[in-house]
Amino acid sequence: MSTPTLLLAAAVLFWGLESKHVLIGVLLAAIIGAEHFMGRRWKLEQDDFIRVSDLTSIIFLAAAAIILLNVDKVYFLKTVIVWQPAVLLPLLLAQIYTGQSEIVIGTRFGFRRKQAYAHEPLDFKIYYLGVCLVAAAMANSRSLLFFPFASGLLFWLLFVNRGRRFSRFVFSLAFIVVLLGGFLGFKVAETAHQYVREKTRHLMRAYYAGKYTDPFQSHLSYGNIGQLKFSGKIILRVTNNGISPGLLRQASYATYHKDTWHSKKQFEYLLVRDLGWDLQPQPHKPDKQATIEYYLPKEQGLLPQPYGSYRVTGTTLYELSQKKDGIVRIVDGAPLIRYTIFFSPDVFPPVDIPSYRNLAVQQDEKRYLAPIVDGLQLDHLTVEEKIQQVRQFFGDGFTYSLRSVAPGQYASALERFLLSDRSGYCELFATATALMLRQAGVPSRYVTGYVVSEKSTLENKYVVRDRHSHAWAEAFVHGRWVVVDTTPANWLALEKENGARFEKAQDLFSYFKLKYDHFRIGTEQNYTIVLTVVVVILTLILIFRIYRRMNAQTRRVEAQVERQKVTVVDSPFYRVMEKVSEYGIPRKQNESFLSWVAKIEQQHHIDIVALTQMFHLHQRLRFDPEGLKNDEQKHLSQLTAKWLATYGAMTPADSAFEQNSALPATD
Amino acid sequence: MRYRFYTLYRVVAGLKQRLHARTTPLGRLLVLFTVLMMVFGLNTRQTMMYQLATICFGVMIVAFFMSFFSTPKVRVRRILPKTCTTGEKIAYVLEAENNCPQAVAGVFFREQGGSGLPTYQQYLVCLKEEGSKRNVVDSKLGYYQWRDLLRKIVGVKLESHQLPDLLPGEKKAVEISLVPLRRGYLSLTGYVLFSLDPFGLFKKSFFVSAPSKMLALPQRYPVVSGQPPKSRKYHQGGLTAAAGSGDIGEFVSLREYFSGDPVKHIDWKATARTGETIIRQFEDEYFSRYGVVVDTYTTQPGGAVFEDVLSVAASIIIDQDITTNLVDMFLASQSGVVSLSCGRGNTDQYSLLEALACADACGAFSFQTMTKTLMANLPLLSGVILILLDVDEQRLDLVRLLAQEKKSCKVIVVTADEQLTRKKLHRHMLHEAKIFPVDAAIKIVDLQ
Repeated sequence: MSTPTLLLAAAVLFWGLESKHVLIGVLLAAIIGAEHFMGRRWKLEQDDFIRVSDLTSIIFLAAAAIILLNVDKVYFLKTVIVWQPAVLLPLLLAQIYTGQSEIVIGTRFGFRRKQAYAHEPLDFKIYYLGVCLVAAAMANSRSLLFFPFASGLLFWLLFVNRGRRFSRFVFSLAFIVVLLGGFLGFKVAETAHQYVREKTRHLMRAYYAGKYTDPFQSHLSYGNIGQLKFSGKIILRVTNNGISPGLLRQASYATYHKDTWHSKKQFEYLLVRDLGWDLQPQPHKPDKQATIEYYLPKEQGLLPQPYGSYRVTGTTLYELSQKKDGIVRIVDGAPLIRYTIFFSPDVFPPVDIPSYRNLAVQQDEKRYLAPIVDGLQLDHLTVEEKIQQVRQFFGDGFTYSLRSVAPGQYASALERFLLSDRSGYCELFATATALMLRQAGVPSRYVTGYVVSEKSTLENKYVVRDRHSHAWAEAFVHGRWVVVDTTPANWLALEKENGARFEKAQDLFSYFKLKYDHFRIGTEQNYTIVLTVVVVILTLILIFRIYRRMNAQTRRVEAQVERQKVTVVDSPFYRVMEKVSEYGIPRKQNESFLSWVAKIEQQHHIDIVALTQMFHLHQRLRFDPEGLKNDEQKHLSQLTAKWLATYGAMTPADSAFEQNSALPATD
Repeated sequence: MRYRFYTLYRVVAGLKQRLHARTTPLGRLLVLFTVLMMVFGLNTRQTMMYQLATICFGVMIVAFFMSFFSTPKVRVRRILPKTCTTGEKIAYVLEAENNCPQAVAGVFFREQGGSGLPTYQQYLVCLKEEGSKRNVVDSKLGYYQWRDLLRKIVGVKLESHQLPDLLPGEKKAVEISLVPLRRGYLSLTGYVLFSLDPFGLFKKSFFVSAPSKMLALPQRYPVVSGQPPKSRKYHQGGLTAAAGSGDIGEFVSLREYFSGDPVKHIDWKATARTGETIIRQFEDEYFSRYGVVVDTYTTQPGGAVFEDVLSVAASIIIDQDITTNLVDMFLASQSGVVSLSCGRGNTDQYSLLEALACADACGAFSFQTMTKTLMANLPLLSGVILILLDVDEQRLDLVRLLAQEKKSCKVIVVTADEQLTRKKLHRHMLHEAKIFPVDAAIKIVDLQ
């Protein structure tokens, strides 16, 4: 299998163009292509090839580390693959600059001194070509030239390795058919993929909706929050002046339909003022503030904020928007945000007034809620008394449970919760409270967020874990929204009991990760230079170790050659021997020249007499201590020139024809 | 569990053989590349591998169909040598002839070895033998043992050779080579002629059944010769066997006839003159005759130590000058100990090498059999070279007996554990014995 060096140079250039690293591609192509024009070759032993393999492994690991630190994790694998032609270059150069058809790849890592693992020899060039093509494809340039260039490279490779049974014309025709079929094929593939994508998008929408806080809907999935409650992972950290902020509100929803709360209010862009954002009109006297650290999923989400928040500042927040109910959306931010929130109990959004949606109860829910509410006899009570009655209703006989339940014989889990089990988790308590208040004529809504209750001695901050996520109801009382949380107070203790065993170890790891992430994001330090220097130093060390050994060997070989100098004799007879070998009759091992030409003479006319004469003179020139005299050398040159003039232009077929023509005709 | 691994390896080996028979190395790589591109190129928005997949798939389809149109039409005749040497490439001549009216190009020739796969019993034996050499994981999986066993079963490394282009009616000779991988008889079932599709990916093969056998002689190593363990000794070789070596049997004097003297040496003229029977007396002849004892008493035939014992013996035998010396090889077999001689007009060394090529282990018998046979033939020998597998009491007894008989003796111990053997030799005061480690990077037989 032949893989021309210039083909590899073209492949690397193609990679450079596709991956938009043109200069690097040109440089690598020049290094690879230079082999074609160099007459000298390196001399490497098996040990040296193993060292080159180890060097390549080190470069690969260093490159992967640099990419991991500087590129988003989503793009890590893709970036590593795109850079493989540069990473694997040392192995390729070792093969092409030593001129070997196969090289040994192995490693000394993990073995004792002087031991190594060596794979069976392989031709690395063809694999490198494949890597270049894959890396170029991975770069995903969406260029129209990708297909023709890749086809050109494949054509080149197949052409040099083609079966010679067929002519070049047939080869080219077959490849044109392949090109047409390939073009059609990839267009069909694009169309088919688009079709499949559309179909699956609808199926997956509901699944993905539950993963992140959606400002426009919250689905009671009988375990969405329930599952989160089992996790002790720290997702929020709150630092303040020793005062627990209590509840952190993140989202609120007004409409309930078929186990899902919806919100249709739109967000409006918030303007920056004095390096911060004003959420509400400021109070007369600044009250409290807290610093919150929060890992932002996908660098956008909803801002957890305590009640009465009026201002937020933070260098890791880039763009915010807000709804009329005070919910703030982070349109763009760092992966880890740290912000200071200013809040006061006297602050509330003046434009946050209820609408008809805050009183709407669907018929499905009204069917079982009406009898319950009627049973509480709330008609002639004030709003505060109604709220108190509802609190009492849930406080009497209802318990907190972490078990998710299916509706069973009831139409919904909510109905089962209210009429049968009287036990559930916070989502059910919040939903039931909100709907019962609406049934009683009190505007209400459903809110999700977190509870801040646990202080970490390790970090000296309040930590909010996944299991601290919470849902509660809000009721509109005398011009403002108030919290109505009917979930039994022991729910936090119950959640803690079911926490993970290794929570302390997880917290320690989480703490160090936080410190590192702050350092990385905060300092915006570029590690590329540091690690690049490390990689270069390591590379230089290994190159020095290899080169030093190679140098020593070269010197020793030269020293030996100096002691045993051999003069090369340039005899004109070598050209004759080359011509004789073209007659297609191989010379056996240890077969003498004269017996060989005698065999050739039987099939081709080659003037064996002249050859014998020239051969004897040639042997004397080579081995006779006295050599040939001038006139004898001249005679040899003349004989070889004459023979080459006669037989040098003829093909073996011609000489065979001549031979046959010389034979007497038979009847 | 082992049987499941065996079944898996067997199935994979069978598939691999079929794939190798139908595709070229480039074809196999392209098949793998196409499959990978199809798998990783499913998402046409994330990468452009789907374009590579479609074009490679197109190449494969076209190549596959066009391969059916490339039937090779060449007639060949090959003359295989009868013997070869393990590990050394042998070359022989193949004559190719084009009997078609069109010119022929791009035809390949390849010998076809035995395609049998190892049996489960053979696999188990191999696992047991090589178990200690591998780590725990390799011992459990047994993959490397399977791979080595496959190589042994095939016995020969075959390569494809491209035949020269032939015009209509033209005949050409080309040199073909192969490399035997193990000693013993190598069976070739025939040969395959194939040509390729236009892209050089798939083969269209034509198998010609031409069974033949070759005997692969043991591998040989360089020998550092010293003074051979011999002294010149009187042998009743006679003038016909002397052939110019040793002292020439010149006429010395006449003497009276004694009973037992050869009748042909009677000088009749002198007898008629004196009336007493007188014979011509000639100068005595001297040449060397020494024995090479090959220790095959092991229960692990095919192991590296056993093979190297045979190789060392072969190397020593080939190194000797048999025009002046006689070499007797003592080799144990299932039927007992046999002695084969070469030199001084008797058979040549290759006959002994052929015996070594077919030698098998005699673990069931005792080394004392060899000792008895050697001692019985000892008076004829000038010296002995012992090539041993181990250093134990029975083998040491032989060395002591040779020392008692004041017979010159060189000992070479072939071993996989050099340190242990060195300790044993030191303990038994055999300081002059040479150790031949089987895992040495460069192997040399030291007879100094």
